[in-house]
Amino acid sequence: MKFLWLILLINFAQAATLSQYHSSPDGSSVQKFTVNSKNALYEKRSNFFDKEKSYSLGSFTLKASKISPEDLKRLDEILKKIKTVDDFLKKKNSSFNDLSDKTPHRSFLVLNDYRISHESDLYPELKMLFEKFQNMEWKQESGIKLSNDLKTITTIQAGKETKTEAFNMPFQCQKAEAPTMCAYKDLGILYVQ
Amino acid sequence: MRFIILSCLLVFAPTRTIAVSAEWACSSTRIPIEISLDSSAKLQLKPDVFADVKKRNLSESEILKCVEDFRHSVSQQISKYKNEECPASKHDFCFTSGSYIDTKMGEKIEATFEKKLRSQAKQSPEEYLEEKIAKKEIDPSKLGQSFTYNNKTYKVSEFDKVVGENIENVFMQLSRNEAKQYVQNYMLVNTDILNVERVSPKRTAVLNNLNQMFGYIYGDKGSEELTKMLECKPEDDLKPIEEIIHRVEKINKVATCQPLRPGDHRVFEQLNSNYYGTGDYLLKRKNDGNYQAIVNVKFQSGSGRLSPQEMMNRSKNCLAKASPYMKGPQGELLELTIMTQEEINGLPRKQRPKENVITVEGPDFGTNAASYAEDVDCDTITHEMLHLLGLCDEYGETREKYGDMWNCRVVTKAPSIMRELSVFNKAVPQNLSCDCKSLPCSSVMKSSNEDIKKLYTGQTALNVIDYRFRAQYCKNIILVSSANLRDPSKAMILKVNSERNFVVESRIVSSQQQAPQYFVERYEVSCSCPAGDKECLQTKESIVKKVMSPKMGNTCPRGSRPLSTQTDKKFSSPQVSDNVLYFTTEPQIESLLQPGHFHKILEGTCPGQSAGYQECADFAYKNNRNGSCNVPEKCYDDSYYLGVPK
Repeated sequence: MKFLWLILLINFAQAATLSQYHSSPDGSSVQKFTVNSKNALYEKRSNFFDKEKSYSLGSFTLKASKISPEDLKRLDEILKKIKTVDDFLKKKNSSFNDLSDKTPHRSFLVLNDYRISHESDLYPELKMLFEKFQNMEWKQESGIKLSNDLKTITTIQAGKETKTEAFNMPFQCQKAEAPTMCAYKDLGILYVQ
Repeated sequence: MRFIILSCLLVFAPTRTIAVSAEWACSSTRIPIEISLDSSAKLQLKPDVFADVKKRNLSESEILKCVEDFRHSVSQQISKYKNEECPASKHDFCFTSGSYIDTKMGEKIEATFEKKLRSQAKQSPEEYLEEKIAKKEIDPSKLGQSFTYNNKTYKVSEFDKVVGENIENVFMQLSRNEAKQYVQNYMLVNTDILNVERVSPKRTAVLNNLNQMFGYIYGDKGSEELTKMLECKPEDDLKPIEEIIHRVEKINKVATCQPLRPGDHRVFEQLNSNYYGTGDYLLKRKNDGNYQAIVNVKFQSGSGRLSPQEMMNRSKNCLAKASPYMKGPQGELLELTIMTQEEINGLPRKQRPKENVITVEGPDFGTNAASYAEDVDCDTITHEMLHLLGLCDEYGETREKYGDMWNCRVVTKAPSIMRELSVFNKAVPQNLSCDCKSLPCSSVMKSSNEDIKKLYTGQTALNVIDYRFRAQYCKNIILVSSANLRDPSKAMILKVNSERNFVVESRIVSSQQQAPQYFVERYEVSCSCPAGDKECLQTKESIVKKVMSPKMGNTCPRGSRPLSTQTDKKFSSPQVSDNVLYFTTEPQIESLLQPGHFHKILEGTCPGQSAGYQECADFAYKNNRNGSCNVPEKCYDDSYYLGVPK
C-alpha cells in the first residue's frame, strides 16, 4: 500500500486536481481528476455526475490519450489567478474559499483546494474542462462495476475483472427496488434506476 | 439605422462650404448635405437634417445612433478630402483642421439636441456604461457581462469607477452569499492589480471598491464603525475581516435577547457576517405559550414543470403535517408556517420577515435551500425549511474520499432531520395504505397468528441500519429458516453486542405455495467497527438501542406496495379492508427537533440555551485547510451540541 502511494506521489507530482462535489443527507458524491502532462487519474466515488448511465465506482486511467497541454496550461492559469486572490485575502485573515457561495446541497467544483461555485465567473470554463475530461476514454483500474440489470457486481483490480458475484440489492441499497441509492464497501454511492 | 456615405462630392461652392451626398439614416433617404461655416464660425447644414429629425418620433437611442454615425462619417469624408485634394488646393477647408470642424459639429449637435445628446455624442465607454445601467439595459451585478461601444467590446468589471458607484445598488439585490461571490469575481478579474504592490490609481480604485464591498458584507448596521476601521487608506488598511465581523456583530447584538413572553414577537434577520447564523423569519409566542415561526417564501419557476403555486401548496401541507411534531424539551409546540409575500403583507409592518426565493427545478435536480426538485418530498422540504430558520447540516463530510470541504463539521448521533431525512418519518406518523392483494401480505394479514402479523409489520434490521453503514461495516449471512422462532413476534433480535461488534438476526416474511403461504426468512447482519473509528462506534450504539426497542415499520412491508390514496384516518393497529393494508406508523422519536434545534430557532444568535448548538454548529461549513478545526471535544457529545438528555 505504501508502495502504491509512493508511485502515485511520483506520477502526480505537480498535478492539478479538479473535482465535482455534491452532498445531501442521502449521500455525498464526488468525482475527481488528478492530471499532469504525463498522467491522469479519474476517481469516481459516485455516478451522480455521469452523463450516461454507468454503475461503476473506483479509479480509472486514460486508455491511450493524454490531457492536452492547452487544458493543463489553462488550469494552471486559473490556479494562478485564484492563488493571487487567496494570498491577498489570507493577509486579511480570510481566504478565497471564504467568499465562495456555500448554499447547502448545491454542487460545486474544487480546483486543487479551491471551491468554485456555480456563480463564480470561473465555473463555466472549469465545468467545461471537467466534462471534457469525463468524455475521454478511461480504463477502470480498480473498484466495482454493477451490471445494468442490477443483478451482478464485478470487482476490478489492476485493470482486470477479478470477481463477479450476485448483487444483494436489499442489503446494499437504501430501498430494495430502483430508483434508489446503493453503497458498496467504502467505494462510494451509486444512484440506480 | 445604417448610415452610408455613398459618395463624397466636395464642391467648390461658396467659400468654407463643403457638400456631401449622403444617406441620412434617420430618414433613410439619400440627401446631399451641404456643410458650411458661417461668418460667426457656426456650422450650418443644408438641409438642416438635425432639425428635421427632432420632429420625428424616434427614440433617444435611435437619434443618438444616426447623429453619432453622421458625425463620424462627415469627419471621415473631410479627412479623405484633405488627404486627396488639399495638397493641390487652396480651399478654405484645407486650412481648417478636421478636429475644429468636429468641434463645430459638436456645438451644432449641442444646440440642436441640448445637453443630453451632446454628452452622449462625445461619450466615453464609461459614460455609455453608466447610461446603460441607468436604463437597466446592463445589470451591474454581472461583472462578466460584455457590451460593445464604438466597435469595441468591454466588460463591466473593467470600469472600477462604475463598479464602485453601483456597489450599494448591487448589494441591495444580493444575498450575503451572493455578495461574497460577487467580491470573489471582482477580485478574480483584478488579479493583475492585486499581484502588484506598487501604488497606482487603478490599484487604489480596486482596493477602495473592495473596502466598500467588504463593508457592505460585514457591516450591516455598523457603518460608522466600519468607516473608522477602513478609513479609506486602501493600500494598507483593508482590515482583517475577522476583526470587522466581531466588532460589527457586537454592535448588532444591541438587539434585545430577552425570551419572548406570550403575545410577543421577534423578526430574525440573517446576520450579514454569518450566513448560517440565523435565517429570516418571524417568531411569535402565542398566548397559550406555544410558538409559531413564519417564513416568507416566494417560489419561482425554474427548470421544473410544477408551478410555484403547486409547490407552495405542497410545502404548506408538509409543514402542517410536521408542525405538531416540532416540540421543545418541555413539550412546547413550534408551528412552522410559510407565507407568500401577499400573506406577509397582511401582517403588521414590523412583523414582516424578509423574503426567501426558492426556484422549482426539474425532477433530477439536487434540492437545496434555494431550489427544490419538483418531486421533492416532505422530509426534504422540512429539512430545507429548517435551514431557513438557521439550522445547519449535521451529516458527515469528514472522509477524504467524499471531499473534505466541511471536514470540521460535527456529525451528530441522535435522531436529527438535519443529518438524516428518514427522521421525518420516524417523528411524524404516516397513515399508510398498502396494496395487500399479493402474497405474503394477503396470507399474513388474513392469518389468525398475531405474532406473524406483528413480525411482518415490524422494523427489520435493514430499517434501522443505514445502507451506507451496512455497506461499509456489515456482512449479511442467510440463516436456515425455522418454524420455531425465539421471540416469534420480533422482526429483529440482538444476538451479539460486544465492544466493537454486534450481530442482529433480521426476519423477513416471504411467500410460499403451500399453506400457510408464508414463511420466515432469517438473516444475520454482522457488523464490526474498526478500532478507534469513533463515528462507527457511536452509530453502533444508536443501532443497538433501536434493535432492543423495536417499533412498527414506517413503510409498506415486503410483498405489499404503497398506494397513492392517502387517508387521514389513524389506525391503532394494522387493518386490512378490501385487500388494502392500513396502518398508522408510530412516532419513533418524541420530536422532529432536538432541544438544541428548538432553542436555536427561539434564540437566533442570542446567547441562551442554544449556546452549545451555536458553538458546535459553527463548524458545519468549515474545513481544516487553513489550520486545524479546533472543535471542542464537548461538541462530539450530543447532550452538549443538541441538548439531548443524558
